[in-house]
Amino acid sequence: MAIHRNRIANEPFPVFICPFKGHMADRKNILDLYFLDARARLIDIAAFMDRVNRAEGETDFRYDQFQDALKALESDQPNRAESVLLAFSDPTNEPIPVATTKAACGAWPGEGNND
Amino acid sequence: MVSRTTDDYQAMVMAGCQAVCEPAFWAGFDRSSAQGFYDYFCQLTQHEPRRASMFGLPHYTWLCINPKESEDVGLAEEVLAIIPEFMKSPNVLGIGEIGLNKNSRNEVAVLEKHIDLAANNDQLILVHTPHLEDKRKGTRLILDMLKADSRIKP
Repeated sequence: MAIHRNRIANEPFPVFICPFKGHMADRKNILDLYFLDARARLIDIAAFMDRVNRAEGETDFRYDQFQDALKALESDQPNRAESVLLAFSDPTNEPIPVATTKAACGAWPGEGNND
Repeated sequence: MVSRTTDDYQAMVMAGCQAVCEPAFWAGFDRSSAQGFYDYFCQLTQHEPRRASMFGLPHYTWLCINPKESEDVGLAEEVLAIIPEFMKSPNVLGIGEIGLNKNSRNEVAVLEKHIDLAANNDQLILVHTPHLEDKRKGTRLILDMLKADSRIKP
């Protein structure tokens, strides 16, 4: 991001520089490209959690795993996306006895709870 | 066309795709008999390629009983028995999309039968992996089964 000066008021203002001039490994370029999008998604997540809190009743395994997945974001390791996916995934290796549903729901309900 | 609209396939061809294909899909409900699958395969191998040609679309298809309907092993075996008749159709690319859905024992058994059918008839395989929380485990199971069959060359 470059700082230019308003020609009339001589006040500084930031100017977005085309990222294609820079190297994608440059963190400033990554921020220039994705910060606003990520910021909006973070607000969406916060709003979703606020809606859950405002509502009545119990949550279920989906919200438990959602909160586990959030912890992955606090890691300083470079595999946060993988950790988030694993937080929602079935960790077992053997086929289940019977499929009692056709749809996936986004979080693992636990062993013996595939309804 | 069944799994995507004609408009979708037209857009793909206009974007440069050399051919468009569709797998044998779950209809959104469980078909009640092997005859239902027979009619579906007729649609995929006769009616749809004829209709696609009216739009200049090179249409191809895959054949199978989708993993979502694989819990009924008896029905699956009946469907597998009628597939070879349709393999001769010029727009059939192979067996698919086969794989797993909820990673159940019956789904695994039906997948093994599909792999055997493809291997015995020298057919390509199109793989479907499960969705969301089932994807990691199911993809591993599918890969293990394919790797265990020496007739399958990835």
